[in-house]
Amino acid sequence: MNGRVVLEVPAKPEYLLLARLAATSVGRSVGASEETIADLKLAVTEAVANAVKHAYPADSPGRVTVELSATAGRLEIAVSDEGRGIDDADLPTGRGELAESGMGLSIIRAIADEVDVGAGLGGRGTRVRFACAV
Amino acid sequence: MASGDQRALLVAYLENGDVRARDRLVEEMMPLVRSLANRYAGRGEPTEDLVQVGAIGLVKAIDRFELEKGVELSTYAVPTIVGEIRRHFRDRTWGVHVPRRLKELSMRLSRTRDDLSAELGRSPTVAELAEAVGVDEEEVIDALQASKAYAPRSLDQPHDDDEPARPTGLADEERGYAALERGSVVRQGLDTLDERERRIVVLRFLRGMSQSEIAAEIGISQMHVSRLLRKSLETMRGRLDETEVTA
Repeated sequence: MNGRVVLEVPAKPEYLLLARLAATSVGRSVGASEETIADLKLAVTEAVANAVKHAYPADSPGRVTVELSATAGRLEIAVSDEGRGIDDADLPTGRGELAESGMGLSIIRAIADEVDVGAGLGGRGTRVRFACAV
Repeated sequence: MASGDQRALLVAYLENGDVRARDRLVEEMMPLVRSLANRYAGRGEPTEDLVQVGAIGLVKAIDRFELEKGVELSTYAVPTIVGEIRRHFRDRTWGVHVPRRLKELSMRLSRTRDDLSAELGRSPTVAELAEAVGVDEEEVIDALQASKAYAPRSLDQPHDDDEPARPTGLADEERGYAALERGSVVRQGLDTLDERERRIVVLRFLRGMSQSEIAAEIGISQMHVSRLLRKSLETMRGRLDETEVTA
């Protein structure tokens, strides 16, 4: 199957499960092994959790977009937000949090075959894109 | 641990060979290993094994750490720990030789079981699984047996006589959209418990730990865990019944 699924959810922890379900469905549709699907779920969880925890100030929550694209032999997932962006993450209060989001990214790097991190859609926020061979 | 202390320990070990400094570092960084191992829980390997192999990754990371690189040890260690856990899965899967046909059937059954559970709102029977997959019941039983060989139970593993079977994959966190709603109802139930009760319920039903394991983890007797579990379930049930009446 070649296809693309886009999921846009509020940046809240209760929507993590939807992102995981989407990763599972798309993974299965391209015949990924259960092991690869479990890895994708972990990676997407870390990416969305980062956005939920760090992208927006508590009093003005925003949205997280998860794009899942399947092509022959390859599954790509991009998680973007329109939040404060990764360069602002070293604000004075954010030290512990920064370490935590760095850990999420390290996990994604350890799992995925390719990872890149940049500005979000339209130049705002953060976009974490990663891909796995299936 | 402040990064200054960590650096001092790394210098003591890497430059002066002080093994106690390495032990200290390992001890201080075990929470990181645990947190990573927990992310791989529920994939058919005991979390404690994952913590053990993760710890091997941590020791490797410390041994290979380069002081002059100027990165934090934790940043450096995460990929090594995750790598070690992933290797463990690659090496350990299918611990006993199982014919390919049964492996494939067992994977198909696992998916079908998830789908049917979502559809029926309960675990499917062997007959239902057999019909859905298009094989006879005996083959389903063989394949279900075979799937246990994926992670054979240790012969030394203690078991409680009054302990019901561990929650299987059927208690998996994802059962479709219904799980979202059920999750929020259960969450309301959990809110009625005190912190310790809540922890016990989570360890028992989300992590699938046995009563004895929980007892060891929080330092009370297994009998006590059993009593608290029963009480918690009654409390939660009371709350959930109310919810249903008002919903």
